[in-house]
Amino acid sequence: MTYCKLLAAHSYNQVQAKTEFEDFTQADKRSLYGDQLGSMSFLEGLSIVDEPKIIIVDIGAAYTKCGLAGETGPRCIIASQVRNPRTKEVDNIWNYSNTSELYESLKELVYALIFKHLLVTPKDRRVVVVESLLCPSEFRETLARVLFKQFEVGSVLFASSHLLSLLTLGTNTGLVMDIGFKETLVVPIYEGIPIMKGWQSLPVAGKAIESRIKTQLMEHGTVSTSEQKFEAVSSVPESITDDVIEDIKVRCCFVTDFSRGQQIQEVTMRGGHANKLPPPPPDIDYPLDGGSILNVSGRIREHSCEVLFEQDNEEISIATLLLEALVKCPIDTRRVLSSSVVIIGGTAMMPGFYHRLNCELIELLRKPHYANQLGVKQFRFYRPPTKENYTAWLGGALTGALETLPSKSLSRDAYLQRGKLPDWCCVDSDDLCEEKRHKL
Amino acid sequence: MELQDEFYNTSQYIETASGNKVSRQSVLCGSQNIVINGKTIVMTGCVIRGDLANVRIGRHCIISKNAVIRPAFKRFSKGVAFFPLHIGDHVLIEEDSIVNAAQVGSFVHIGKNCVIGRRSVLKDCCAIADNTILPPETVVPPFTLCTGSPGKITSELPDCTQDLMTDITVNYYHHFRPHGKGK
Amino acid sequence: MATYADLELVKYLCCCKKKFSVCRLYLCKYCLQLRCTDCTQHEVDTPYCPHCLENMPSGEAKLKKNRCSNCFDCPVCGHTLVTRSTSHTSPSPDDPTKTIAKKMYYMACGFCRWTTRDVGLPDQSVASGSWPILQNPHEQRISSLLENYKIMAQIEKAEHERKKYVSRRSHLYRQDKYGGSAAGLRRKGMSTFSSMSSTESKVPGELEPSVTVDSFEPLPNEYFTEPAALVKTTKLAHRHSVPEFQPTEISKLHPIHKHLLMRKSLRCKECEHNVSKADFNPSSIKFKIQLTAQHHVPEIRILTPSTFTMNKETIVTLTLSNPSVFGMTVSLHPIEDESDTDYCSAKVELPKKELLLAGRDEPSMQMYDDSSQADEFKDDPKVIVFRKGNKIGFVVKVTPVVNEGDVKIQFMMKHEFRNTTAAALQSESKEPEIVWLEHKVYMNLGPIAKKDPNVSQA
Repeated sequence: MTYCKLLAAHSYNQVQAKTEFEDFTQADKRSLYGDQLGSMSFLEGLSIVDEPKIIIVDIGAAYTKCGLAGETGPRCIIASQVRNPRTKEVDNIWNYSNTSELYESLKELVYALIFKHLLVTPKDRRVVVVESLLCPSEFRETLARVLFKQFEVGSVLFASSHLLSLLTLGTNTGLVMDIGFKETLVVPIYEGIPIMKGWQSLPVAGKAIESRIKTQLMEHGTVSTSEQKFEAVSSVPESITDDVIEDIKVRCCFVTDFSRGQQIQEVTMRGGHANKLPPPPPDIDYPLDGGSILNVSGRIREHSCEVLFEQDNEEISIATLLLEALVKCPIDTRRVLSSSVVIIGGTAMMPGFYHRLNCELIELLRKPHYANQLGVKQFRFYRPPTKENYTAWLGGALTGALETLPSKSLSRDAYLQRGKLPDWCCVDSDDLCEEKRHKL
Repeated sequence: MELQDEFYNTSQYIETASGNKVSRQSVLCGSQNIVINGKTIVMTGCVIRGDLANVRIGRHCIISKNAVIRPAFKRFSKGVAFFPLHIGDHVLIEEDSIVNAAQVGSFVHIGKNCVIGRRSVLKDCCAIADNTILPPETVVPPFTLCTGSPGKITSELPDCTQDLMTDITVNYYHHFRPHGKGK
Repeated sequence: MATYADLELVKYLCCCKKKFSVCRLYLCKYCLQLRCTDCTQHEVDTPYCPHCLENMPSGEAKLKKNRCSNCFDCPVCGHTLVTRSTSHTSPSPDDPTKTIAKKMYYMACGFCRWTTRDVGLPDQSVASGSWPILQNPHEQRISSLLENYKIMAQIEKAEHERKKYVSRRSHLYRQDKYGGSAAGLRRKGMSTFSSMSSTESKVPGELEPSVTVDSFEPLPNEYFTEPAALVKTTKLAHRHSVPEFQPTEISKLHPIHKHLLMRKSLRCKECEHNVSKADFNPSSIKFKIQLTAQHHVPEIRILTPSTFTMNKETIVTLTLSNPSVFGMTVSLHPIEDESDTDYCSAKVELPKKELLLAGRDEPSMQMYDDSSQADEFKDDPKVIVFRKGNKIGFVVKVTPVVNEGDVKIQFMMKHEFRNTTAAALQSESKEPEIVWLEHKVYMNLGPIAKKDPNVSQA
C-alpha cells in the first residue's frame, strides 16, 4: 500500500487546490438544495428495485461478448464484425480508417447485440462496457457516442477488463494476463489498484498464431483435389480464408510441451539441424469447400503456437511479460502477486497452454536474471469460474448487478452536457459521475 | 430503375382468359389439379407437379425459367402422403429454384437456385436469397430474409415489402410483352 | 426482394443528412420530416419464436433468456430440430411377463441428420419439453460471489449516504486518477472491490476464497501420436453458441432452445410519435401504424438506362409515381448550394412547370389503360412522355461534366402532402391542410461511356 500512496502523490498535489475550491462551492449548494437532494436520492433508490437488467458488453478484437447483468454467462459471443455499408464486405470493426466509419460499424454491431440477441429496448438502460487498458480513446469515445446518441442509453460505465476479472475470484490482488486476439497485456493489481508501472504488453496472441499458420501453409501446404494431388497452397491462396485459418487454429493446433518446444525453437529460431526436431504429430486432412483437401502437416499443428513462447530480439515472450511485470512491481507485492496469476482471453483456451506457460515460467525463474531479482520459485494460478474468453465479461456482469453501479456510471445527461468521458489519464473528469452531479 | 421490357414469342406462350401467360415449353403435370388465379407468368422449362397433389397459385406471380413447383410428401407408417401446395399472390420465384414447400405466402421472393425443403412454410413478405438451401420443415416468418445453407434468418426486410413486391410483380407482367406488338 | 428493381440508384436525403432509398425511409406526419432507421428509436414490441410463430410475453421471454421452450435448434448446423416418435416396448410395471408399447420421442435434424441419440440423450416420453437443461458448473460459486458483493455494495452505499452529509471529509475521495489512490478508483467504479476491502471487516466472511493451483496436466500423449479427429471436434461457432459450456467435443453438444425474434416499433426521436408499429400477431403482415415514406412521397425512378458522354446533352426519361389516392402537384428545383460534391458530376435541366399527378386508383392500377389522360391534364409532350394512371414519364436533360465514373445528379423535389393529423384537422373546417414538403433527391444515372474502346475492354 505504501507504494500506491507514493504513486498517487504526484497527481494528488496537482488537483489539491482545485478540489478544495470545488468542495466549498458544493457545500454551499448543498445547503441551498438540501431538500431536493433528499427526495432525489429517495427516488433513485426506488428505481433500482424494478430497474431493467443492465447490458454488459465486451467488444474484443476478434469476438464480442454480450449479455445481461447478474447472469452466469454471456447471452452471445459473436464475431466483432459487421458488413461495411460502403464496401459491402464483412470486416472487423477494429479495421476502421476514421471515426465516422467506426461509428457506423459500432452502430451496426450494437444494434445486432441489442435487437437480435438481447431483445431489449435500449432507451434509458444502463450499460457496462468492459474495456482493455489499451483501448484507444477514439474507440471508447465513439462507442460512448453510439450508446448515448444513437441508442439513448441511460448511463455507461467503462470498466477495465483486468480489474473485472479479479471480481470473478472474490479477490483484489492478482497478476492478470489477458491473452486475446491482438495482443497480450499483463497488469499487476494489488489490493484493487492496478500498478500502472508494471504493465507489460506484447503484440503476440491469437492473431500471431493465425498468421504463423498462414505463412507456413503458403510455404509448404498442399491442396488435393480430385484432378490434382498435392498442389501447392500458394497457387490457390484464395481457398485459405481467414475462417479456415481460424478453424485450423482451433481444431488442429495445440501448444506443445516444454521440452519439445525447446527442440523446435532450437531448429526454427537458432538454425539447428532439422533432424533435431521431435517426431511431428500426424498430419490432418482438412476438408475445404468444394471437395478439395488441405493437408495440415503435423509441423504446422505443433509449431504454430510456438510464436507465443519464442523470445524475440529483446528476449520477450508472453512468459517473460509476467516476470517483467513482477520485476517492475514494488518488492513487497511480488510474493503475493506471483502466487495469484489470473489468465484471461480466448487464446489461453488452446490445449496445453497452461502447462506450457507454467513450465516456461519455472524455467525462466531459474535464470540468474530473474532468480536474483525476484526470489520467486513458483507461480500459482487462479482458475476463474468461467471460460477464459468471458472472464472479464463475468466480472462486468457481477458489477452490473450491484446497487452501487449508478454512482459509478457516466449518465447521459452528464455526457451530453460535458461531451466527454472520464478517462484514467484525465484529471478533471471525476465530477462526471452521476452522484457528483446530483450534488451539484 | 423501372423494369425493362422483356419480349416473348407469341407462339411459345398461351395467354388464358384470366391473363395467365404460360409457356408451351413448361410441364404442367396433372393440370386438372393446378389452379392459377390470373396474371401469372409461368416461363419456359418450369415444372408444376399437379399430379402429386393440388397446386394453387395466386395472382400476379412470376415463375421464372426452369423452376420446379412440387408438392411435398411426408412418409407415414402406412405409406406416403402428398400435401397440397398453396402459393399466394405477388410471388416471384426466380430461375432454377425448386419449391417443395407446403405453403408460400403472398409477396414472397425466392431467389435463383434455391431449394425450398419439404413442407417448409414461407409466410407472407419474406425473401429467400439466391443459392439458399432451406432444409425440410423450415418456417420463415414475415419480414425476414433467409440466406445460406442451411438457410438462416440473416436480416430484416423493409416494412414496405408488400408494396415493393406488388410493384415488381405487376410491372413485370406489364413489361412481359409479345414480340411485334410495340407500345 | 428490395434489390430487385435496383432501388439504390435513387436516394432521398433523410433529415439526418444521410441518403436512403425511399423504401427505407419513414415520413413522420407530425414533424413532416423524413426519418431513417437511425433517426428513430427502436423498441421491442413482442418477442416471438420464428419456428412456432407464437408470441411470448416479454416478461416470460426475459425469464427464459429469449428462448422458445418448445423449439430446438440443431447444435451442429443450427437448423430447427424435428421431433420424431418411435414406439418403445418395455416390461409392464404391473405384470413383468407382459410388455407395453409406449411412444417415445427424440429429435433429429433434417439437414445434417444429427439426432439427440448421437449424444446419448435418452428418448423422452412426452413430445415437447422435458429435455435436460445443462447447468453451469460454476453457478453456485458465481451466485455466492454475487450475494457477497451485493451485501458489500449495500454497506458501501449506506456509508456513502452517510458521508454525503458529512461534508469536507470527502475531499480525499476526489482524487480520481486512475491507478492513483484507492479512494479515487472507488469513486469511478474502476474497482468495486477495492472499496469492498475496506468494509470487509463488517461483512460476514462466508465467502470462500478462490483456490490457486501451481501445476497443470500436460497434454495427453495422443496429441503427438494420434491424428486429431476433426469430425469429433467442435468448431468455434459451436462453442460460442453455448458460451457457458463451450464443449470441444461434438459428443457433448446438446440441443439448443430456439432464440426468439422480435417485432419492433419505431418512434420518431424528435416528437416520439410512432412511425411504425407492427401487428401483434407474428404471422400477420399488417401494421397498426405505418408511416413509410413509400406511401406518402412520390417516387422517382429511371425509365431506361442511357449512355452518357462528357459535355454532351443527353435526354433521360424519369418516372414519377404518386402513392396517394389524391391528385398531387410536384415541382423540381435545382439545389443551389452544391455542398454535396459527390452528386454533381452533371448539369441537369429540370422541367420548369409543375408536374400534375393523378391519384392512385387501386382497382384500375392493374389495368393501365392508355386512355386519354394526356388530354385531361393538358400535358406538354416535350416534357411529359407518357402518363399511366398515377405515374408519369418526364424528361430531364443531363450534361455530364466529368469524363469518367457515374453520372450523378441532385435536385430538390417539392410535393403536396395532405396533412391528416389530428392537429392539422382541428385547425379549420375539418378539411385536411395541404402542405408542401421538400426533399433532396440524389440519383445515380449510370456510368459515362468510355471514349477509348480499348479502355472499356480492359
